[in-house]
Amino acid sequence: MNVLKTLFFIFLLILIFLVIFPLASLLQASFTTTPPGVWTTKYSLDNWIGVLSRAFYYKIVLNTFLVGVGATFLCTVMGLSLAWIISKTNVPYASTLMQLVTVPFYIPPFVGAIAWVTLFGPEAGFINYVLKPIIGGPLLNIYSIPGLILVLGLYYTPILFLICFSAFRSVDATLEESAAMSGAGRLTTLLRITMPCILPAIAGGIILTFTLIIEDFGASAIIGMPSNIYVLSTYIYSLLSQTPPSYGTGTVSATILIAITVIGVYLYTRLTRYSKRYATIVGRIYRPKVTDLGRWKHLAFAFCICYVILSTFLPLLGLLLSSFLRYYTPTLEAFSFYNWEAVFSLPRVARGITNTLIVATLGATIGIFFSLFISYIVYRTDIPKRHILDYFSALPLGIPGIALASALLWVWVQVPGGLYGTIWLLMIAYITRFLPHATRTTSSTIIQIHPELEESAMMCGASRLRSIRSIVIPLAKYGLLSGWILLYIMFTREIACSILLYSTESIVLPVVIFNMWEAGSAGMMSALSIIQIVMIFLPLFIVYKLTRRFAYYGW
Amino acid sequence: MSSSRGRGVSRRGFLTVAVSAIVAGVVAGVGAYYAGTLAAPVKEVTKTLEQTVRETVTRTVTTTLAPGEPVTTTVTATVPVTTTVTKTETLTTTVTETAPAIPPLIDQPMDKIVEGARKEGKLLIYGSMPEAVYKPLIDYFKTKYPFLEVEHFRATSTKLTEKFMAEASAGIFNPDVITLSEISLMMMLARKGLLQPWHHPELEKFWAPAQNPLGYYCSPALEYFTVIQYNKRLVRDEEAPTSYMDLLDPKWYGKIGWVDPRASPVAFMQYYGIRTTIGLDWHKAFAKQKPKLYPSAVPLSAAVAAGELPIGLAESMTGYIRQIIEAAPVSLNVPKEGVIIGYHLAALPIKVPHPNAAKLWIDFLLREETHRWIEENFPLMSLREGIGLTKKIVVNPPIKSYTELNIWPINWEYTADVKVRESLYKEFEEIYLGA
Repeated sequence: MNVLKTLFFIFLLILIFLVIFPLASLLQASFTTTPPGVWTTKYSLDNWIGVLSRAFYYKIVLNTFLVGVGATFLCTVMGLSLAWIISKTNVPYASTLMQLVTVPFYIPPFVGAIAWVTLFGPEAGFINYVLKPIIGGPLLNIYSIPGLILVLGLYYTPILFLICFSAFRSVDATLEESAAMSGAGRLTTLLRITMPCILPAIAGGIILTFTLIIEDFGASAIIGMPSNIYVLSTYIYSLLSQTPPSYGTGTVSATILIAITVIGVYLYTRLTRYSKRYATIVGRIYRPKVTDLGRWKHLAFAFCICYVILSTFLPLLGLLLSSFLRYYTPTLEAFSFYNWEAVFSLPRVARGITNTLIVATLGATIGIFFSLFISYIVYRTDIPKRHILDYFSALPLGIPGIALASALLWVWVQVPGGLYGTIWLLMIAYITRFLPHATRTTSSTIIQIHPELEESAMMCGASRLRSIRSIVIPLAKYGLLSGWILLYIMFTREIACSILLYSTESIVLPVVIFNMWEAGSAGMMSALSIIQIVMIFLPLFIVYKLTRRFAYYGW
Repeated sequence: MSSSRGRGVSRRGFLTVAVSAIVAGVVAGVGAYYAGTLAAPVKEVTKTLEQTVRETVTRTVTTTLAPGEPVTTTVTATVPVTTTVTKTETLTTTVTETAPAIPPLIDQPMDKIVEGARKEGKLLIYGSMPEAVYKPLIDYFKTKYPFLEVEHFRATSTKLTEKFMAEASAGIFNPDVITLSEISLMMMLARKGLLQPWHHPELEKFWAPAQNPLGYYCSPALEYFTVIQYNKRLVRDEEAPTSYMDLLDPKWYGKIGWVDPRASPVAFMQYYGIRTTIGLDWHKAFAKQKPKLYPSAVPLSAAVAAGELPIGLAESMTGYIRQIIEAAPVSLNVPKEGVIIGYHLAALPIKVPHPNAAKLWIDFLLREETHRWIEENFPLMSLREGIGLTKKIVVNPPIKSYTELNIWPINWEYTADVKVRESLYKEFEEIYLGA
């Protein structure tokens, strides 16, 4: 117990430094005209009054909610149905489908948005260009609110899918079987038994998805900004990247976004307050129950394939095509190998790939164990005030990457020890930024493991740490692995913090890609995006090959 | 037990958030103070600078200027005040142009500097030019000084400035040369005492208003200018707009792209230039054309090359990327009313890891030989007397040198004012985004 208490205080201190310090400097900056973290004696409410008295600002907040709710709704419908079909029914090729529907997860929304622009740009998108003579106009104008919702929805679906999938898999099948034996139909079983069991996981997933979407910068910038559809994150970006940066207004907007998240996190705790009721990984043996869909299974299969085509196949085709075009155009007159040759001749590319690999693998490992201990302390001990850890680690979720980056830059540059400008600083920044995602995963994993297992181990004489090592970690390993993969992917594609914290030595692949976009080299950017997607996909493939039995659990 | 505990937890949790907000406030105070004490080195730097350079001379070009007209100059002097906080006071005087002793950039015989640079072996430039454009220039520099390893850290001017200032506040000075595309950002760095003053005899060979817009802090090496870019497959040459007024034709409704002036310094100057030269009504009329707004000229010119948009209000440099590097079907028209120049200013930070290499680079940027090479091989425009417009860009009507361009004057002092900027951004938002 004392060990855990000491750990609690160590973690508390680390979190205060990692999260509260930059956050407080953002809050402080919203009352001044200086950058976050810089001392001043002049405080005023001017920024707040300036922001809150403009009708324009409310329009942006409204847009943010419209896009956030729309895309989250799309994600929920898609993610839940896909997860249910693949985990709980006899749909053909379930394990292959499982692999396929998670592929969009490897495609950063930023790249996905660019790919969709190459397909559905109103004039020059490949598909609109081909269909225009036939249907007389563009099939879909991507530069619109529905377009933005569609792209965000498609690329954030896999996160919700993965959460729902592991939740469906962990439901005690005996409960469902009892329902069926008592005469409940398939739908009734689904709605009355299965759904309530996985509700906390799904509610958490929906909140996670919503916050990720309203915080999204890349896709919202590529699709929203040219058509003047501003959401909070892109507005903050334009405030912080204007000349000179408007720290005051920018940090006010960031604070408002953080407030929205705090409310979200509060709602999440309300939803999961009876968490013990849902502990379904218990000390009994069970097998997941499979629903026979009958003839409908082909339709379910078609639904999954449709998602794969829209989210992966078509956009990747678009990227591949544009990587072979000297300049981007829907006709093929500019076909060349120029981009691929140019990409491989740049020394920065190799350096970026190496750095990204180191930071992502090592960072994800450290990050996931860090958050496992946080979740364990929060959900398995009686230490007073332990929930502070949970709240602190959830806070970065609401900070838009670009504002967090600015705060981290001004705070970390002051820290002595030569960390600044190295890849280790990037790693710390990534862990900070994605701590909420990691703790969401580890917490829902911990919640699902019933304490009775550990209690029996300890009654048999095992120490607390021993019981963690021999009971919790083995049972949680699939949850941990999916959390690790989540972090690995987030780290491999993180751009907002990297862009302010990198140096020529510590350049990472997403920065190289972003530079290409800024330089307007669409073709080279497409080529690099393909390399990035492969980089994300390969280690996953290796993990899968090495631990074949994950196939049974879907990994 | 379990449910009552669960409820208690969430209430306590909510309280925790409230408490943590208060804690955050306290930590903010302590933290900011901590950061403030650490930020001290900058103030020290400012002081020492002010001791060495008694007076800092800043030249301002007033708005009524046209190219070729005599330059009216006001002189602003930075006066050190004997308090713990450095205070800047602006004095407008009618001092003649005799500048106080500004140290020459090349303060030793050239071979000594070359020898020093050889020992340093490295040069790090913080710059805002796209790599595809800048690399040939660096390669050309390397043919002169092959022993130097040159690194170009590329980001937008705003990000570079923020990064540089944050580093400087912690006493970290990484770059040898900092190159920004906006004068007001340079002005900010100069006023914070983060730049070294220097003088170079070659400066006098440049277009007068650009010789040294800040008063001996940065070189006016190479520039680009604003153009109307159009896609030749979608727009016939004879119907392509040749002036800002042409862009108001209803037939171009929804077909024009522009760069968001809040995001791009050049687009901001263009917004300001049109506002003062043509009038605010132009903006009101143009907003009705529903232009698409891009975060920089680069993706905009890519959209025009792709045919997504027929017309874009872009820059000569991005036009070069499309025309020459990618061989896309685009043409560039120089607007009749006049152009805005995008500056590319190279400055020397107050502390430099490789001082000799830095001097070689700035010296290189000013030399006639370099500008002759630029005329033949490089897409940026030289403002050096007697150098023709780069052959790497084809514009309509054909232009032989910068003297044939109608360059709109900019009041830098005025546009660098934060309050002015914010009010102009707000005005832009009201007109274009319907706020």
